[in-house]
Amino acid sequence: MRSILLLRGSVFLSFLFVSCLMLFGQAAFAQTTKVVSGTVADTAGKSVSGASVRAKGLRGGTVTNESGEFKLTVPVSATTLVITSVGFKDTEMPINGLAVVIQLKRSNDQLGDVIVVGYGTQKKATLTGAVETVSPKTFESRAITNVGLALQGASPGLVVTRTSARPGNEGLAFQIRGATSINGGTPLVVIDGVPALNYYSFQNMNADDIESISIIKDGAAAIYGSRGANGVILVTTKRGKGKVKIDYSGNMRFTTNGITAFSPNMQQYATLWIEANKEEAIPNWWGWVDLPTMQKMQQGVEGIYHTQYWGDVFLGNADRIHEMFARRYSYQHNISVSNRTDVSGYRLSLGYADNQATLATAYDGQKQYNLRFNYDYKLSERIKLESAVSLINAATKSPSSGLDASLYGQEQPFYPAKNPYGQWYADYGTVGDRQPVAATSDGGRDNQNDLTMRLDMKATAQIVKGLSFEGMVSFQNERYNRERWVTLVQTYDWYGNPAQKTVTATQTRLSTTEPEKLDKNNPGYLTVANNYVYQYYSGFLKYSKTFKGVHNLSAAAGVEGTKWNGQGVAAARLNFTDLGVQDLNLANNASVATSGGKDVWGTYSYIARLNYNYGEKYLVEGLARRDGNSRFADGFKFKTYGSASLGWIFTRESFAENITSIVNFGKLRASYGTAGNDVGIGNFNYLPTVNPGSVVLGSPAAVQTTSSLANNGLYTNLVSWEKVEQKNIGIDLLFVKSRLSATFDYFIKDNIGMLTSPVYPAVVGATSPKTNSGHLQVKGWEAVIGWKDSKKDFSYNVSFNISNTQNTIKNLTNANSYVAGKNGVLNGTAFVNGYPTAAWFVYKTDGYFQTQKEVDDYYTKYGAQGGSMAGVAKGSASELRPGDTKRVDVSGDGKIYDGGSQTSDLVYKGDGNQHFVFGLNLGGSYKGFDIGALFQGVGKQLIMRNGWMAYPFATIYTNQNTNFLGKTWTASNPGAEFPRLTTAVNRAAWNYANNDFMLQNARYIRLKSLVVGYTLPENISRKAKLERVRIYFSGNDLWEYTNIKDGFDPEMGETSQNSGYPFYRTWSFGLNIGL
Amino acid sequence: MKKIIYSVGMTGLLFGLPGCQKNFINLNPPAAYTTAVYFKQPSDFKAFTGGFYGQLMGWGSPYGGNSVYQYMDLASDLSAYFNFSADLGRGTIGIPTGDNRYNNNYGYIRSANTLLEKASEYTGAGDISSYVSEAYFFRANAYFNLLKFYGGVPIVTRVLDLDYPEVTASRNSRYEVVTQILSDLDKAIASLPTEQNIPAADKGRISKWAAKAFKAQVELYEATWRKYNGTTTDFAGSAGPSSNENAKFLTDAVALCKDIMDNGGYALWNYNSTVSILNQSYIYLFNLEDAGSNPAGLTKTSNNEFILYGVYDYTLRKGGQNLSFTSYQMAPTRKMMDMFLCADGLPPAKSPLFQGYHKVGDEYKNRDYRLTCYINGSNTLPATGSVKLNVGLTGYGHTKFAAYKYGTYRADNQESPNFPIIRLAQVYVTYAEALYELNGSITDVQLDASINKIRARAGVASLTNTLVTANGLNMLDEIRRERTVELYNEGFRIDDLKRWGVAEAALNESRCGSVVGDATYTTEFRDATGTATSLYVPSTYVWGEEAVTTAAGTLKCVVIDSKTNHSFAKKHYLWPLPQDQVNLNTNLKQNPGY
Repeated sequence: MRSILLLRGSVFLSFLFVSCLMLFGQAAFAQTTKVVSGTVADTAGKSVSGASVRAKGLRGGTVTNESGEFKLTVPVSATTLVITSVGFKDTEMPINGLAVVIQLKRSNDQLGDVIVVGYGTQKKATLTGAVETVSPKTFESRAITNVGLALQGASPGLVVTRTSARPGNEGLAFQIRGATSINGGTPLVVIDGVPALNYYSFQNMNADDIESISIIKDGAAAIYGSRGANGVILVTTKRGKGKVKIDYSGNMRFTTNGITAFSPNMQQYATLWIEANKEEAIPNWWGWVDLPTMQKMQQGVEGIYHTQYWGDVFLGNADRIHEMFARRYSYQHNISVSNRTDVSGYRLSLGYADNQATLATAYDGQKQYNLRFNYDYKLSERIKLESAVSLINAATKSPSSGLDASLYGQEQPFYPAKNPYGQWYADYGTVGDRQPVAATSDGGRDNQNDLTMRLDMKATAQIVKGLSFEGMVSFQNERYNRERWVTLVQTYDWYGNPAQKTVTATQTRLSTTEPEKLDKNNPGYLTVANNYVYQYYSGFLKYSKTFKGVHNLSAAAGVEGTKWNGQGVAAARLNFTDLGVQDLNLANNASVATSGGKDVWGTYSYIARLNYNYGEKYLVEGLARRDGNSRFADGFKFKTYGSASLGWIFTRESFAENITSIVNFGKLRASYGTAGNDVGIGNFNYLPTVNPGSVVLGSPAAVQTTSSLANNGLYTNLVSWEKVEQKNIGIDLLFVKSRLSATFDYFIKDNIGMLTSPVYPAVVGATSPKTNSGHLQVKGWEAVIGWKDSKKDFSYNVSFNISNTQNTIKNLTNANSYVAGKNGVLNGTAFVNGYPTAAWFVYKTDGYFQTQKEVDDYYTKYGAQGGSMAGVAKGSASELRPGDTKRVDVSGDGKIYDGGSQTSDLVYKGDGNQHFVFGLNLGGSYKGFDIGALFQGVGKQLIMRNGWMAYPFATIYTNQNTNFLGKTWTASNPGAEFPRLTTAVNRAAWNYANNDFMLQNARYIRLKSLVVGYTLPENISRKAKLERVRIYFSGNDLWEYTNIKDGFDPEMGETSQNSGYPFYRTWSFGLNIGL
Repeated sequence: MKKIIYSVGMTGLLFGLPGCQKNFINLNPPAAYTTAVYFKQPSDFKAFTGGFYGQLMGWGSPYGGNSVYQYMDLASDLSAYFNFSADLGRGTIGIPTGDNRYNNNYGYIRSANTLLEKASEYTGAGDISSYVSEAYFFRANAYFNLLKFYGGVPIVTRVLDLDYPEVTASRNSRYEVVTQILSDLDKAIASLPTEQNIPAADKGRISKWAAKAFKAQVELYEATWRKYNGTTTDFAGSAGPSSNENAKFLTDAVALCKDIMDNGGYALWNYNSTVSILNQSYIYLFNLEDAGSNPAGLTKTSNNEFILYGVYDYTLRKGGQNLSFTSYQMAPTRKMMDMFLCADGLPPAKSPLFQGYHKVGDEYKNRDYRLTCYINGSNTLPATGSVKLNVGLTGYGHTKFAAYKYGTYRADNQESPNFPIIRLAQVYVTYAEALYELNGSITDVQLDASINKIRARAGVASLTNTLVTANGLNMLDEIRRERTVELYNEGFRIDDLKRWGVAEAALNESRCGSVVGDATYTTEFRDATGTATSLYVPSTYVWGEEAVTTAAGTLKCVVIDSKTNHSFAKKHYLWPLPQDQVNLNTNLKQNPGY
């Protein structure tokens, strides 16, 4: 905070200092001068305004006006002019006569590029905000059709995470500059100037249609008001250009399993049990009866085993991971036609992709269809129309059961999928209520289809020179359909007798009013149809003018109205037999559940932006937005947001001349802004609404309608959006003729109006409404450094980006106690003031008991006090012994305790958020060959595995994580990394759960993408009447390095039992053809 | 000219747009009523009271998850199953940070208060008095829950806003809370329909009889609590009782029970004479669903015993509790096993019919049908050699509530019998106990009108004053025994122990299982040399064996949960107020001892 003010102060001082220098400079050259005048234009003949012109070796100078003209007084001795302009190469021109015409060549530093910002465009060079651009190259030749996945590692501020590799089920999450609120929030996606109805229409758009992506990270997002606090992703699509052009690209790819070490085999499973029971006074063999049985399993002997609970069962080697997951093939085709004439331009593109995950037992993937038609028409010199039609259809089809915890968590690795009769073999021989191979093959399907249609119309009219009006209308419509059926699958024992239970028959609960709650493993048929309509209207006046050649002013003001309507219906019937045709009507209608639902919200906003720069040297921007929202009561509907930012391109100062041969461009930026976070407030929270419900009463039982008041009738109209303040300072530098580039940003985000729930005494009888009283602070930085160069046919580039954020909960009601483990997961509970979200509070440990005396002393000191020791009480079956973990009494109160804050023995060990997220881009080309590699990774993330396979014997009746084998304490290995194995779950929990040594750093670096291409020489492709032919190899996730110790993929998340679907590697071969 | 037209047009557009602002931001909920249009007709009130039924204990507990098991008798002196309520059974209750039982009940009180407030503003023509009575019943139910958990609590009788004084009020005494409950119940009884007048479509809603039975239960509870515990459990600063109301409560409870017995139209579910389920009424009453739920093909409509119950249905509202699986594990203690009478009406220790423990089937012979029905799940006695003591368990099963033909008739989580809250048998035991507590005596006629009807169903000779005196029994003990055995695992035991003032003694004993005996008393588990047989693995019993009083004298039994673990004290008669509430309202005084 303090440092920001100081820095901003120094910027101001510099302004003053520079202004004085300029005055001096002009006074010094009052005598013996001549006047040179001329025009400056680019190679295409377009005049360049704002270019600075001075005599070589001298300070001072002038800038060109709107028409590129200048007039400069120089000493008679001056012989050469130096012309510099951002985005162009520095040019020297001998003074031959007093009138000169100067042509500037564009430089390759992209500073002259115009990039899209909120409600307008700006030259990259004169930006004052922290705006990152992602080049369309990021998406080229990638063997993925998900734009979101392609953005992993592409930009330092934007962090994209996934939890699965399954197409359509990746669980993608976007975050710009870390979490803004404990209540969540996601970046706003704006496509061609209009907020997108949903993330699908961004993720599933055809990457080939993307012209550019800008990511607004700082206070400049304030122009998006209540939806801007999490940053904004601005997408611009390609429009027709040049002569008629037809492009085709396509690729074919296959997938192979990635990290699968978490899945044990029969031998490892048995070894873990045997090793654990070696340490037990009373061995527990569970249903496996005794040591000889498990020794047989340890040797991998297939055959009939006698068990305690399930009779005689056949056990064999059955590695689910390799049984269920194998190489699958995917395809992708894109074709586009584009053209532009003086009057009109169009671009039509079609895309088709079939992306399949590695599931071998049934189709699991997504088919994607894309159509986009962008059409522009000039009505007159003054009036221009732009239109766009786009369709995105994504059909995700998967098995409806068998991919949950039963896939691997509940499935020990020794039940072959089929018995000798070719029937589905039941797990536990006789039980048979879960079997992932059978469930995914025959247990039904879950088909989801999402169709997003969009129509845009935009008219631009020039009123007078510099002043124009822009009107825009957009209609977006999403139709979501789902049908899911789950059928019972009979399993059999090894001898061909039907098992006791059928697969997927484990839960049949049908909530009559909430059919979607028809649980996953529920036999029956569900159909869902949701329809969303989004309307957008805006009108803007835009003005831009250069005064006296140096005062560049542009301004825009307008209004915007949006409205969202949603409507849905869902119906389910219990019991469905799949005879090859699937429809709700074919399911048993004895028990039916239905639900409807409608919702609506709207916004109405007044928006203004103002940009001013002095000679493209001193830059100022101001943004304001007054947002009206239907989610608040009358009198509370409006809220104002805004931002201000300053920039200084110091390399344009004449005093910087000495360094410009090295630092050819340098800009300092500072910004401050406030924006809102659009979470946590329902559409009609401000009204006392009556919620419908149902109860079952009567004889015979029947459903009766009931009612209750939303939040038991307690409501408020005083809350508003979360208000997030953001301060940013940044520097952009280009060195050695723009070959080396560097950008650095530092920021502080303060959510000073974070929604929190103040807690009132429970006698009130309802949860007290949220208030805007919380405070979360995020500090962070981003850096990008790049190098590019070329020599003749060879060119190469390297760029590295990295960012880090650290948040702190500054003020939250009732957030002063913590629990063992992770505290304060977003959208969750247990936040702790003064600590970050996802804060780890774990037991401090002091190694393992080495002798019985140490154990006895420990019990003497702490045993009688209960607390955490209740589970391992002396005399109980879980009594501690040598080899068990020694937790430290940190609070010194003679008790090992995990509750609260003061008396607990938990210590803070860092947070579970991702830190030092980075991307490394390498590229090069030589003649027709090109190569590109993108590495992405995380430098630090503390995780602790949870669930059944978090550590050995977290539960006994599930699969086990055998990655701990050989690393645990035994009398002969007292210095082991982990405590002793134990089959007593309470003791296993004491030994492992929430202990400091169980935190692991999930850092990784992964080769996200590798592309190697070869473009045929033109003389060959021309013979085939083709403009361009390129063939390439493209791979995803081909290599990684991680510190994960327990066998899981670093991107899988912390839960062990749901992580049975392996991440995979993609290998693809593709072709690009241009006509 | 053109320029002007553009300018005017565009400017007009810009400034015209604010006019349509309201189309975007003044919106109404498209799919929900607001209170402005609701509570205008009786059906609105009926629907609102329908929403109260989730407040009743059921397979899905009002306190969430599988907590219904905390409100059975688990971890009590009758149960060797400690997966639930272990802190209560062992007396290791700590102060919780928060507690659903406190929070949810105040939520229920708020919803009842909401209905009462809306009813007071109601000006419609249709009659809503029965719904108002229903709201009073549910408010009383919530306060009785709070009373049982915490003793006296703040009384709230209106819909609170955040700045009302009740929000930070101090606790009312238990005496004030009881007065509030009884007053609400009187208002409930006034306008609730009798069971006979409730149409079939509304069966399961509260009847006048249910409210009366509930009131009798509250009165017996409170009269005996005050009689045996006095003011020892009151929080510091609590007001005392204004007068001794015990006789008044008991007199009223007796009269209410008599009214239900005479006029309620209820009858015990007794199909003992039906050949296919001979003498097994106690198995099939508690898992009664459709015709497949018992060999006699009886359905829920045959049940005229339940007075207040949760309606469940396999299609519409499944129990969802893994009920059969969990039930099988709720093994009884040695104490419970020995509590069942012999067919002659005498306790096994006194009855010549008792066969001892030498073979595992012996102790089931000539006993109360409830022993075989609740514990064994059939009339077939355990065969010699069929019981193994090799995994640290009691050697007994438990089948009350478990589905008949579990696994084929009903899989896990699908059992859906109605959940009994008050049944006629409970009215009988309440009647007998209240009478005896009131008068110190009970006549044979009164016994015949009440608990002897239950004993008849259980195949046990009637309880008479002669039987008591001739065999050196104690009438009160026998009435309590009858209550304990009949209502076993229906969630009354721990409250009973507390109100009788005997919880410390009962809960601090070891929970034992099968008799294993020794060289002098051989069983299937120890032979004549005192050596463990192949059926018994002593090392799996962490707590070893203990010699305890059994029906055949002091014998060694396996210990499931040792008394060394137990420290139940007077303070545990009430739960501590959750810490968050004490912190939020410093006027709340914590219960004594915490």
